[in-house]
Amino acid sequence: MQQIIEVIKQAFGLIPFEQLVREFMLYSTKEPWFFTEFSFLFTFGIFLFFYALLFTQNAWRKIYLIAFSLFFYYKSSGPYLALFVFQIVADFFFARKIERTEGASRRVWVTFAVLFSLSFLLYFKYANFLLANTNWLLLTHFEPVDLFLPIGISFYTFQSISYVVDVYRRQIPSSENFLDYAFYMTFFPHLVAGPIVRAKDFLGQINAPENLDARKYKESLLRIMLGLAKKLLIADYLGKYVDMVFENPSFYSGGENLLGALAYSFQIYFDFSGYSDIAIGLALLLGYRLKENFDHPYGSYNVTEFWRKWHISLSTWLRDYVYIPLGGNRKGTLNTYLFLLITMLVGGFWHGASWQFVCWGAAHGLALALHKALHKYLPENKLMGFLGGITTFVFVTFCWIFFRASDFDTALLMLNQMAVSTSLTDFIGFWFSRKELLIVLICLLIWTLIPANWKRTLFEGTFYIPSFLWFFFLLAVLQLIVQFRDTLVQPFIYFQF
Amino acid sequence: MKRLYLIWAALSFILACSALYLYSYIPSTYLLADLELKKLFSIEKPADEVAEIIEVAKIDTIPTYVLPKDTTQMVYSEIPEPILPDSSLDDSTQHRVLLIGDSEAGGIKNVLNDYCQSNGHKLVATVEWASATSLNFAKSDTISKIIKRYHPSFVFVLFGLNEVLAKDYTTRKQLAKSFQKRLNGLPYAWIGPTNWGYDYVVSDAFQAAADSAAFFSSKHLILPKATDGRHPSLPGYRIWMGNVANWLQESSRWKIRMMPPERFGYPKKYKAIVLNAADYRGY
Repeated sequence: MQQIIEVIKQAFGLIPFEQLVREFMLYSTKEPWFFTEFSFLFTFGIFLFFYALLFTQNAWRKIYLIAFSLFFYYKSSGPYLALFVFQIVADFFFARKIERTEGASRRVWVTFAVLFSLSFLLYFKYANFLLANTNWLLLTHFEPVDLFLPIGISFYTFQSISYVVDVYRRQIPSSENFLDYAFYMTFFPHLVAGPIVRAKDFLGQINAPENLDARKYKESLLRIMLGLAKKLLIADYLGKYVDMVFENPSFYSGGENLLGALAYSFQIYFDFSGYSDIAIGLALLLGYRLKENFDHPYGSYNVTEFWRKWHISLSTWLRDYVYIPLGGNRKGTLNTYLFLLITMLVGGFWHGASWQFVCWGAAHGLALALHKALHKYLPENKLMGFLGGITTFVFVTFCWIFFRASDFDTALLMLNQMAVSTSLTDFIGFWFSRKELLIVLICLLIWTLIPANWKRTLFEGTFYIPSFLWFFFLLAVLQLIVQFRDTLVQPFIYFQF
Repeated sequence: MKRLYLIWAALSFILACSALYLYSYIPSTYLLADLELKKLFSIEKPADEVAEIIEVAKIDTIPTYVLPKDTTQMVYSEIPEPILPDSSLDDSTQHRVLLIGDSEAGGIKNVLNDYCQSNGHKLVATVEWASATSLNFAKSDTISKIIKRYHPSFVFVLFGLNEVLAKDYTTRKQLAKSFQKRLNGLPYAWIGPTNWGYDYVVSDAFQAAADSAAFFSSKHLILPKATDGRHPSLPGYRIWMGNVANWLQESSRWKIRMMPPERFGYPKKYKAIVLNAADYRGY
């Protein structure tokens, strides 16, 4: 025991406290804060302790959480915090104004509020895309602007739009308390990469957070641990191979390219669903329920079902604020297909300012329209379901190639490699050169085939573990991550959108 | 009671993370079922403490080059005082750096990474080709492929340790020339192997093959070495890099900014490629 105390004393003597505090307080472009940073998890623990003490003091609790959320955003995006705060203040007043006005001026105000929110997104995300295409079309020579995309701008812009539009539609009253609105917008679990939370789902919870009981404690910890493992152990591991293949597909055989696309399909799922799991788990610890963002999407029988289960908060947002306002299925069959296509084009464009994302959105839009046109003619039985599941998975994976590739040429090169130089020997060679990766991919495919309710039963089975053991469970998972994670932790894929 | 689980959750995070942080600061490493328990990060000493490290490292290193009768008189090279960059150097130039070499490149890569990050450059990849000689680098197309893949704007070349006993000057020079062509006109800094008592022709042959002022001969440096007697120890690599950095800023053909790093131990964000000459195409 004496020896252990000596070792700990020695370790404490080596900790440069002053330097650590200085580095902690400053924003670093090289090391922005993610949920996967251990410094975040440690700080979150301290934050949570004081949050517990303030839990019954409603106003102080809100102020405390807003302050931490703003600090979190500052650590992720630095000076863009000012822009974010400005947008929150402006949107709050716009919503108040919209609520108080009637008739045409009400429409003018909502249009202005939406354009105001969109203007920041358009400037930061699409300015260079616009310049590049203008140069190409008009043979002009505009220089690209040196812009850094504020993290989470696509997500919080959509949130603020949904808020002002819902107030305009009188689906919710505008928030009278600025603190409540700021709380909704800044709530750090969903701030930088979703899920896109609707005001109508969240504003009502703000002043009545749920108490953390044993079950919620276990559920939230499990979600956080699962999310960390999904991201750091699975997605980052697959990402190493994906980066190699997508960087130069011509160096790899058709089979290797095929497995690269498959690996990306799982990488993006485990990366983004891992982030969502952490966000939902953190929010639950704080007493708030965020809606699920993924529901086993790769087990979908068709592309329509896939979009009901993949990035649910975005697909429902697009449905409610693009597809239905366009006319939905109320303006005839052909128009329905057209609206589906337009909605998915918007979805594609939301992901990034490049024609690949537009192409990705168009492919999904066409597939949705095709499924809508044909599904009533297709028989419903197990075999069709199985075939539909495979077709959907292959189609989605194929589309991811355009989503991930750095440009069109790379995507086409990959497809060409798959088409002309794939043979069985590729996979035999792959087995000998990258056995572990192939085993992981096979395990993930099997995991996809397991019914969702089995997984849920397994998930809930862990709740029988006594509460005091969960600390050791958390420690073991964190050490497991340190043990096997890649030395280079990649940012979450959806941070770039 | 209502807040019991909230406090317990907070303590779970604080205690679990504290345990991992504390373990990283403990000098010892522990095993679990023969598996080394990895640490969250490794502690790197700041640059101003390197002198102290060298003192400690002397115990674990053996002197090389000319062994004096009285080893207490052994004088090692030192990290030189930094030379301020040439005024013609553009501080804002940020290079994509590629490091190519043999096992000595594997040793120096982390130190180079610290210099690069501290000076605004990006070390994109390192190629550590164990047991390789100029024959491998000249004959294989691996390097050309790697250059094509990583698009570096500046290349560090560091090999030769595995051929310091070679005496065929003409052949080495021809091989070195063939390799130099593979760089395809990219700016580079070619660093000669460290001296461990022998260096018959290799540094001279490489110098003759390289462009003028693009080769840094390491023959004159006496570096603290690891106990294998060949490779420099960590302090040795830092002294070596310090000398190379001054040369790069002061008199190399393609000068780049290389001031001493603010600290050692920057995150390793490069792609580390490890090859072995023994199992690669027979070269």
